[in-house]
Amino acid sequence: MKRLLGFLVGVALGVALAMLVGWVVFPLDRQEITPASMRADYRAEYVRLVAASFGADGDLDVAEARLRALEGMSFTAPLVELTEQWMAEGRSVELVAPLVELARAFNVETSAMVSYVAGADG
Amino acid sequence: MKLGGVIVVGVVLGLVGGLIYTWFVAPVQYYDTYPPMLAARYRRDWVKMAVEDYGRGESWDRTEKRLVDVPHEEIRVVAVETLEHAVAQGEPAEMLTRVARLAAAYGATGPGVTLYAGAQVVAPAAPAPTSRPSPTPPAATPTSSPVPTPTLTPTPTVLPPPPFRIISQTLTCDPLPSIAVSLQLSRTVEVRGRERQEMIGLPMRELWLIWDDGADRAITGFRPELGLGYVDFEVEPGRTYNLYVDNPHGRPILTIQVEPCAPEDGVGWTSRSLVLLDETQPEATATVTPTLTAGPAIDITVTAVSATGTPDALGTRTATVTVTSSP
Repeated sequence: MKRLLGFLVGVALGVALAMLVGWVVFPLDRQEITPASMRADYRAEYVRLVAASFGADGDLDVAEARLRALEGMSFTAPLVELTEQWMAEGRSVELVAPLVELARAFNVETSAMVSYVAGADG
Repeated sequence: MKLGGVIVVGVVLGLVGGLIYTWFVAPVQYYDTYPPMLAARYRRDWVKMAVEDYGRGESWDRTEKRLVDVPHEEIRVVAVETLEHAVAQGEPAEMLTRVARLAAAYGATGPGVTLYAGAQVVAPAAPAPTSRPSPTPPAATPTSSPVPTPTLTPTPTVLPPPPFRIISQTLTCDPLPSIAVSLQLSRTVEVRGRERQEMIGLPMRELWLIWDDGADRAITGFRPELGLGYVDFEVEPGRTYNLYVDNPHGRPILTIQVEPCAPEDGVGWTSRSLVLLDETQPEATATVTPTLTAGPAIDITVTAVSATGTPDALGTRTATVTVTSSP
């Protein structure tokens, strides 16, 4: 009985130590925290930066790789989601236009974007 | 088995099972993170985009928030790389200045940062608003198509000649052609009351080579052993280049076609070594005051000059003077 109790105490100590090591001290994949894990406002900022960067260099491949890091349903999903959200919130053309431009470069155009572009063109 | 051994076996089994669980079955999940927590490659990309965006005109406040808690060492490295890339790409001077100032604000140093950041190195100028622009529904601000203004026959604009003069050009025959330029300034030096001209190299000046579908830029002074105003470019055989100083606009100083060597010079391509005289700056003057040091006897010629500048009645006298060190 004493041995069984000692064994169980040992197991409990081992498990507690493993939780400390595995989740706190040396968590696995610590090196691969991706932009997908960022808070929503930072993710929005990330998409905005990707669009601004594309507007400057026109590199669609780089923009795609960056958007894929957000691990959306499709790589354009976070872009479309943010674009439509900002259009709905009435954000300035200065903010929304680069997003629309990037979405169109990926041949993605929702009805909201079409009406937005039509409105912007006057 | 003794009690101690049983406990140790329990600890080992618990540790192994626990690690399998925490690492593979239910590894730690991160959510609501922020840029400093990202894996290095993503964090670096984030910093790069933020630095570039600042270079394109984003406000300092916003950029600072984007880069908060990111190690300054990483920001410095990325900012300097971004600056070098922007220089190589021929980005506008305003962008280079902004990126250099950001780099300097995070502690970066180096010739590129110093050159482009200019005097205001300590803190980037941040005149831009700190908040986002107020929302403007697109439908509420229709933009009308601009009405084209009829224009008359364009008036030809005569471009002023570049303020640099080629004072020397040396051609050599090389397997790999190059264009070397030494940018110099003429200044007047006054030694013992006599004026003479001397040439000095001009460091930290931009020289541009522009061709059909590209551009190259270099800064003078990075090879001091060849002169402070020296810079060189590798060039492609057969291509035509326009050479500019400071800004790649207007009339080039020289248009250079990289041609094969003359038959008598051998096989290869013509390399050029140019000396350019900067005529934009007011002529510099310098006064050199000789210092006497102990040594052998020297002859000194004294010419007495009257107020009108002509030799007076004393004429010219020559004396031998020996300088000795005082105790």
